[in-house]
Amino acid sequence: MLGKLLKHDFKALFKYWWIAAIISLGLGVAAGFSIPIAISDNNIPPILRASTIIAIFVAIMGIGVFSAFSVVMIFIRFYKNLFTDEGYLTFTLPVKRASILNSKLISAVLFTIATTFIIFAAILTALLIGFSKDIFTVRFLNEIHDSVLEIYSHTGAYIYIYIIAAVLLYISITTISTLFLFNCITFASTITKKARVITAIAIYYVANSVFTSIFQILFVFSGSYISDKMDTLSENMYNPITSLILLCVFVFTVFIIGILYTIEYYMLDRKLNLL
Amino acid sequence: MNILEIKNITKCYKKNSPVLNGLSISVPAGKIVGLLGPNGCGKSTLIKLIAGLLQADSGEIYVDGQKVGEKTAAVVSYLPERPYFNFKLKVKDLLKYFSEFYSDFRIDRAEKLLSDLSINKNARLSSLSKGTKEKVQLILVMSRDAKLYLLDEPIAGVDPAARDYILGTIISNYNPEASIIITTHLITDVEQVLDEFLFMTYGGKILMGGNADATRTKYSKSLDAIFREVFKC
Repeated sequence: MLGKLLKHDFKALFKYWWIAAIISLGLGVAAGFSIPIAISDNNIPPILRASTIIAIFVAIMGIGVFSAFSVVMIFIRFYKNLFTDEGYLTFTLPVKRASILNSKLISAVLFTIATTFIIFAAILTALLIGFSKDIFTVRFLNEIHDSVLEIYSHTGAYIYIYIIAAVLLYISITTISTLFLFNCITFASTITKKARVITAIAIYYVANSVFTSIFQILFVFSGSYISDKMDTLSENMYNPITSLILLCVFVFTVFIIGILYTIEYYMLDRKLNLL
Repeated sequence: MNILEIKNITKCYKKNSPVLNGLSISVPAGKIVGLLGPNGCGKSTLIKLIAGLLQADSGEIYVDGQKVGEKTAAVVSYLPERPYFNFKLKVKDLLKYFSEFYSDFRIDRAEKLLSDLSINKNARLSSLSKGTKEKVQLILVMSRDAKLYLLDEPIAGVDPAARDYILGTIISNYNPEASIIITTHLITDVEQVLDEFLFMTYGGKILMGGNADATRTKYSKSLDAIFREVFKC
């Protein structure tokens, strides 16, 4: 049944997302073609130069709007599907509550990741097209190449562990953000009948501020402690210890995911009140 | 055998003012039961508890011998009191959706009923009138071979001609071994199809109940007339 739920969630999310994604990539291309005119030293009419600068600005804004659109679309679907009248259908399907949650979570995380890729692709496209005739592109690519080589000289094969850790942490942090928002929407929907969306936003901002402050304090103290300890290490221990720290951070994020998932599941399974 | 067993159910939306207070009822298989009572007496709350959309504060509900959950959702066909489908969908999308998720959904039956009413499968729900949307919902719900149908105010808000069609659809399409619970306050319209009835009042108390025909014979009155006496303001 999870497969069927996923199919419907993907279909519904993809319906408008792909159009926005293509527009974003198109804006990246448009910005790319505008950059050479905007930065050209040649005698370009001021109106044309101003137009290209505006075009670049609009493209950047458009890509930003795409990001916001994707996030809003994912959470509106979650809210509408579960807590409006559509919830009568969703929660009377012969599926486990866990399957409903898993479907929403997997589709939300995958679409968030896909959105990030599209944004990177749009920005990269703009830069590569925009500076294709410029020495900057060559220098930019050389800089990346040199940086990778330099990092490799320090890390050796550990670079692969760091890349895997970065990918896993990106996925786990995206999952945490998604589940946290799910928690806020579900909690708001279980405690209020009216103004659920506003309540969810208020809960999100309050809870987010509290947790961000706590984690910032935690990371400042643990970061300075770890930094002091790392200074005392011999160079050959640096990479194994860094890998271990990354593993611990990843385990910590998985633990947070477990807590948020359990809270969400509990609310959907035991506290659901569709009025 | 009872298809539905409700044991000592209590449900409060606000503290110390229970909508249902220690309600216990059972519904045998193969019966059409009218859950009748004034607005706000807890009929819809009870139906939502059976459908698993609300959580009881205490007590237990068993459908076909199972506690309310994923397994009972497979045998319960629920019609809410208001439209609950995504209006952007087409009627054929809903047919496909029901076919995928409900193994007991009979798409041929649904298509025939839609065709009888000249409802275009390619029409979007948003383009249909309120009454037609309700008919589409009813057709989908009644096209399942469920063991228990929960119909929450199926005839409220529709014209008398549509009421006749809806009741006709219910009678002619349900599995005779299944049970139907119909909540309504429009007793005159439904009483001819009921096997059993329950008069429910505020707090979820059952004031009266039993076999519809026997009660009518005993009091020489229609259920509607008895209801008016029992709930006289």
